[in-house]
Amino acid sequence: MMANIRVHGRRILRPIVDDNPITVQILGLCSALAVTSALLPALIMSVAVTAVLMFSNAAVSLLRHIMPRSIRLIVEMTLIASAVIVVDQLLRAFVPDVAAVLSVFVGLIVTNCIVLGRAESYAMHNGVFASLLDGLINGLGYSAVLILVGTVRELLGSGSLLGRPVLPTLADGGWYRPNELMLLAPSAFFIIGLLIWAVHALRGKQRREPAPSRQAAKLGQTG
Amino acid sequence: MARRESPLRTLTVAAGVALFCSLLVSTVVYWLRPMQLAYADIERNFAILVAAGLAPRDESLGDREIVARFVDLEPRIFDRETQSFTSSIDPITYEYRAAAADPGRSTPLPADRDLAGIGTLARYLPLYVSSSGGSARRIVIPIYGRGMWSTIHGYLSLNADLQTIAGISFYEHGETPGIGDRIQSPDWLGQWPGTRIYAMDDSVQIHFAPPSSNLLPDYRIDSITGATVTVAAVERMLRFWLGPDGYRPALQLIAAEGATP
Repeated sequence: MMANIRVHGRRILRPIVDDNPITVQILGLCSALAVTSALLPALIMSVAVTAVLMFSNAAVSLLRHIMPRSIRLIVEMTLIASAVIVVDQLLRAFVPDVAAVLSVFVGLIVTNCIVLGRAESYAMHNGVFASLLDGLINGLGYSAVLILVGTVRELLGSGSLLGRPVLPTLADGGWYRPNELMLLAPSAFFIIGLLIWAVHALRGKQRREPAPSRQAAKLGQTG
Repeated sequence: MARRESPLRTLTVAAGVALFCSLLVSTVVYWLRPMQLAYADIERNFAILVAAGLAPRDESLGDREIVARFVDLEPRIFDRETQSFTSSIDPITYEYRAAAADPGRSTPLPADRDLAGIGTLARYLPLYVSSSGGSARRIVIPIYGRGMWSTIHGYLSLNADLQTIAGISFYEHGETPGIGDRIQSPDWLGQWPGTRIYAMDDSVQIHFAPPSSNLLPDYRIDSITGATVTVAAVERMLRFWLGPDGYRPALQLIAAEGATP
């Protein structure tokens, strides 16, 4: 029993590092590039994507036995899009400043391949609770990368974290000269690229991807 | 139980999901709308203060602070029909955007004069006269017009000479993120103050062009690379609102007041 839980626990936690949706499955990249120029938008985006993932996974799992094959994808997309609208409206009402920074990228969670990927590869075949948990864990995996990239970019690009000065910049009479490249989208490419390399190098010889990940990766390369 | 792939089953599931999702979305939107509108109001009032030079662009002010700074602004209503300022309308509660959409309180614009692409123009036009410190008098007018994807809304202020721009702010737009939305970038907006508006013949000559342009440099503001449609829309908005169908008559009235105190 204990061993079973441990094995199961390890497997379910894989999306955080070993099977991370961004660094291993290379999904959800465009939002990761766009919203990580500072830590706060990255944090809010993380919460938004995690919430959408949990909702869509739970809803798809709940409907998996009654969902006709012919309209499976459109039903999933409708559920995901609704969840995204709800999240977008919440952000606009409670954190309008951050919502303005995230702009279209909240709406674009609809096209984030991680969300549809998890719905198709996991929630369609597993129970509601397990799917909810899978949504949470994958959301955390996505969040981990976003927060890491957001921290590096804001620290090096503006010398601050969450808007509070950490490295005193030359403009404020300090010694740190902000690297403005860090505020532009290409820097996220470099950081995520280095991150992917680091994760793969640290894990040694990369094992062959298990079937679900490959299926998810095949779903689309737009997000 | 119906077969999983029967048409009836498909329709039932589709209808059920659609019903659930639309109820979910409309409930949330209905519940959150008041909060979003309240925030939009704050944004708009803040834009007025920024254009009037009463608040720095990069500062965020609380609700009360915004109200407190409004004492320096004298709101006025210009009646287009009588071509004079009127006190028959309460400027505090007057909503020019609602009035422009109300056929009873607005007139349609003929297409050849509708530079801003707004369709109808309200009879009563609001403006603010800021009198902080006496000398730095500014006139703040709302401007709006059709942009790339939706209507761009902002406030423009003129210096006491009524010939040069004093300040500008946009508070609502749907321009393309990363391209057209740079109309809100402080660097670009910072170039506006001091730009001349009217030529000798009173025509609006303010325009957007790259720095290489040699045409009327005193009237030029940098265009934005890649945002051609947005910038052209803003230019047409300026031509309309500063022109004879917009605020030009009201501004001339204010200029006449200044001449005969």
